Amino acid sequence: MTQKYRAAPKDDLIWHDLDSMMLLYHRPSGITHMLADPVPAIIEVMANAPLTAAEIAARLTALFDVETGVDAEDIVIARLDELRTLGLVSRVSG
Amino acid sequence: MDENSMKEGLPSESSVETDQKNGIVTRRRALMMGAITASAVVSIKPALAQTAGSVLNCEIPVPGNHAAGGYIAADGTVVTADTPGAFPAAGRNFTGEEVLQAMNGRTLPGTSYDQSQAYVNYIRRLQSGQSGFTCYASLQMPR
Repeated sequence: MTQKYRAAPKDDLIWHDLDSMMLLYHRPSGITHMLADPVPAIIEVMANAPLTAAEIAARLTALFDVETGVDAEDIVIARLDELRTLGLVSRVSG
Repeated sequence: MDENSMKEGLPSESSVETDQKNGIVTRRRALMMGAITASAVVSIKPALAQTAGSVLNCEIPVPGNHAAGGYIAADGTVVTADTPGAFPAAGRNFTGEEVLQAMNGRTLPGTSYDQSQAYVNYIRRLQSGQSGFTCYASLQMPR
């Protein structure tokens, strides 16, 4: 899959770490999202650049000690779809 | 992250790597990926003290005061009046009910298909603080 995804602009987001979970306030919608791993890490590595799910999974593996025995790319795709329905991630055409 | 620290690690601890420049040992944070089907987000919408009836009666001006005098381009951005293909301001405010129906395929009252699309795109771009934002936010479908 070469579909690229882009996270909402950093200026639109306010993060708050609660140890057991991360809160994310999305300014344009006024909605607060409670995020569990790996979602905060996914948004963090996307860093405003358009990336494929494979590229995101690769960055996660490079920056974190990723749980073994899982298909990271498939899980990233599932979480990106979830984030798209929430308006936090968009698909990039071309 | 330092790329050098990713090349080799201590044999017995794959998550601990030595920064070859400084000899500093760094441990990457463990990241649980969860299951494919496991949702990882719970969303809290802003508290809007309105009944279902009044939500649909709330109004959205196109454009709002913050963009008075502007025209609406096909993608919903506010542009100058001489922009080719842009639509003038709507002659009336639209109710939440009308916008909800427009988002589900009908056109906004008194508009052509393209004009309605442009207006809906404008509404989708509304941000907190802009007139009509609260009305639009209250229309968003719950997960």
